[in-house]
Amino acid sequence: MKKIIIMLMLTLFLCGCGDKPQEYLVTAIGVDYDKALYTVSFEAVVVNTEAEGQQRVLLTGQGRTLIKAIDEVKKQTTQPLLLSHCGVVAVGKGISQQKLGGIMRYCKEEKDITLSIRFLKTENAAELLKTEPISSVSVGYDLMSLFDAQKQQNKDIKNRLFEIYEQLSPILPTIKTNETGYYFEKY
Amino acid sequence: MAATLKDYENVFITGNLEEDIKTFQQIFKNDVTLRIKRITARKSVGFNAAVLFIDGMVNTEQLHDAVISPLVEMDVPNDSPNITEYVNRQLLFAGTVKIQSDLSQILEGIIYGEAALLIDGSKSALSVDVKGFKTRGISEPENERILQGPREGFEEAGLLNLAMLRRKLQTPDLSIEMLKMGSRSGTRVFICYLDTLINKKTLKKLKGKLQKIDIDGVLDTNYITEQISPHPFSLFKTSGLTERPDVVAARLLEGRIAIFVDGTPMVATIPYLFSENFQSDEDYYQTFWMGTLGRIMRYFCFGLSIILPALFVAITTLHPEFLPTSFLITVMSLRSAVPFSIVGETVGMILIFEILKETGVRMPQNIGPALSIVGGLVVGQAAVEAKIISAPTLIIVALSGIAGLMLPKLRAAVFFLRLIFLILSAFFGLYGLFGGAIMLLMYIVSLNSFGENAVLSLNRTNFQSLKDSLWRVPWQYMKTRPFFNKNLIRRGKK
Repeated sequence: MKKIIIMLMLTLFLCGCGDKPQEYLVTAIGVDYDKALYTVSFEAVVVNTEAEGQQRVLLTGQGRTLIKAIDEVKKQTTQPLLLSHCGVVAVGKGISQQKLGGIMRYCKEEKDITLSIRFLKTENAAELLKTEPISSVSVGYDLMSLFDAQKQQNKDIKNRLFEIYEQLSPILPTIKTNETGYYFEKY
Repeated sequence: MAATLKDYENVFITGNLEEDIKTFQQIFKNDVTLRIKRITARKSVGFNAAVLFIDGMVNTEQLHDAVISPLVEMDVPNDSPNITEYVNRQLLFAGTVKIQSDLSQILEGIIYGEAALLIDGSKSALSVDVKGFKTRGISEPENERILQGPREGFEEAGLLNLAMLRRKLQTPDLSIEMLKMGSRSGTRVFICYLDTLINKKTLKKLKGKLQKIDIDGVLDTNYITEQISPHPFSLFKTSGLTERPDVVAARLLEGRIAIFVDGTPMVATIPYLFSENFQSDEDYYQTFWMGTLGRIMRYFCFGLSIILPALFVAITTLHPEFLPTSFLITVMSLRSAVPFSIVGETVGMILIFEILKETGVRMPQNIGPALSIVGGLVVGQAAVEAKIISAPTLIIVALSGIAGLMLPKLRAAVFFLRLIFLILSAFFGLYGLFGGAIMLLMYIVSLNSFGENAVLSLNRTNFQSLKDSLWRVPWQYMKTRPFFNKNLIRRGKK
């Protein structure tokens, strides 16, 4: 009995036991639909030591269904994808209202994604996430800052998952990019 | 071979001085501290006596002045029918003298610091109280220091401790009962209470439990309190311990019973309510604002101390969504080079903190602060820089440890609960933490001390029951005693 207790105690100190040494912190998800294929893009930040800083990665996968496309993305890395701090879901113009419902259902059922995740529309979600971030380490953070800035000006945009989930035809803000950054096309 | 005093019960001295001295020499054959002083009176021919005492236990000056000198100079009338009685009444200058013939009683007196006077031809001896063993002296208890209020603390001599208590409670209502415990140590245990205030059932229960204790030696109060506890394996105490006479007096005034053990300054009080863990005697010596602040801070620190490391582990490993993104990134980047898991790192840090704390307590006073600086600051800083531990974990464990120091009465409970909560959090996250907290709450509510619910003062909703638990109200509003007394009214209408 004593030996078992000591062994159990020692396992707590083993390297990597119960811990995620280098996680991919997903900051934004992009979903496009074209020619009967879903294209899902995960923008993630890899957190290294303080000296090494943060590194931005973009993982893309395709599939006939949303889930298959997400699985393709997950296959690209052995590291766990941490979805708890993902703030934005960008959907491309090919995403219909019906497909948007499917994406929202996925986000609601995925236990790590919070209900305050924001949805937005863009020409091409993958292209949006590929652009170089302007004010932070990732496009996802830049977009979140953009929404926060609107909120501070008392123009809070109601595009969070819990705000649009029950709506039959939610109206999403459209984001465009130019040389100076991102802007709302119309809302 | 006789081992305890009971073995000498109903054995009597013979009256033959030489024979009796030989008996005592035989009993103390392995004890070099027994002294035998033979006395022959100058003026009374044929009067021979001997004084037996333990070296170091008696006041030799008093022994000489009160016993030896009068005997040497005495002139015994030839017609005195009872020489022992005559010596007792006419010659000895000692305050307390007992005439005894039972060997066990005489031996008991000698061992306790009395001098036994054996007179040739007399079948009874005189036990003269000339106790004179050195004691530590009255000083402020190290672990119950206060800024304001009485500074005296109990010491090791039981009778002196009782005198200190008597000075605080000058009432004939103060009852002191004595019993002996420990078949070999023969330790005197005193039960003190205010007769008109206590619940007699509690007293009866206590006496019953004390009588059942079968142990060869009682060297500290804990030898007794552990054996009379209704929850012997509980992390929470069911009897209070203090070294301060003012605290014992206050407890007796609330209708509690105190247990003094000769040889230790620690005094136990029962019944013990859970809220007493969060009380300090200083709460009553400062303004009620400060007393209440201290009380609330202690409750807060109890929660903080046991939950903080567990909360940190639960959130960083299983519920990172609770953390703001920037803070999560900071924690992750600081932890990325640390080779241990967050659970292992936190458990290790808690153990190291306990080691440092324990070492600091045991170290000589002049080394303790240096050790704290080297251990806490230098090693901590070096370990963070060497990436053996991460700064957030160090901060969390240090905060939890410092908060725990506010509750010296719950030291063991805080340490073990901290680890239990941590393990629950590591496996089940916040569900484990809250589940553990609910179970702890249920356990605390189920605690009892000598038939009284330990959360008696917290589970009632009227103002008077809470006056001295979560907060300390001004003295003019403290109108009742805790609910286990027969006389509840403390002030005002009787």
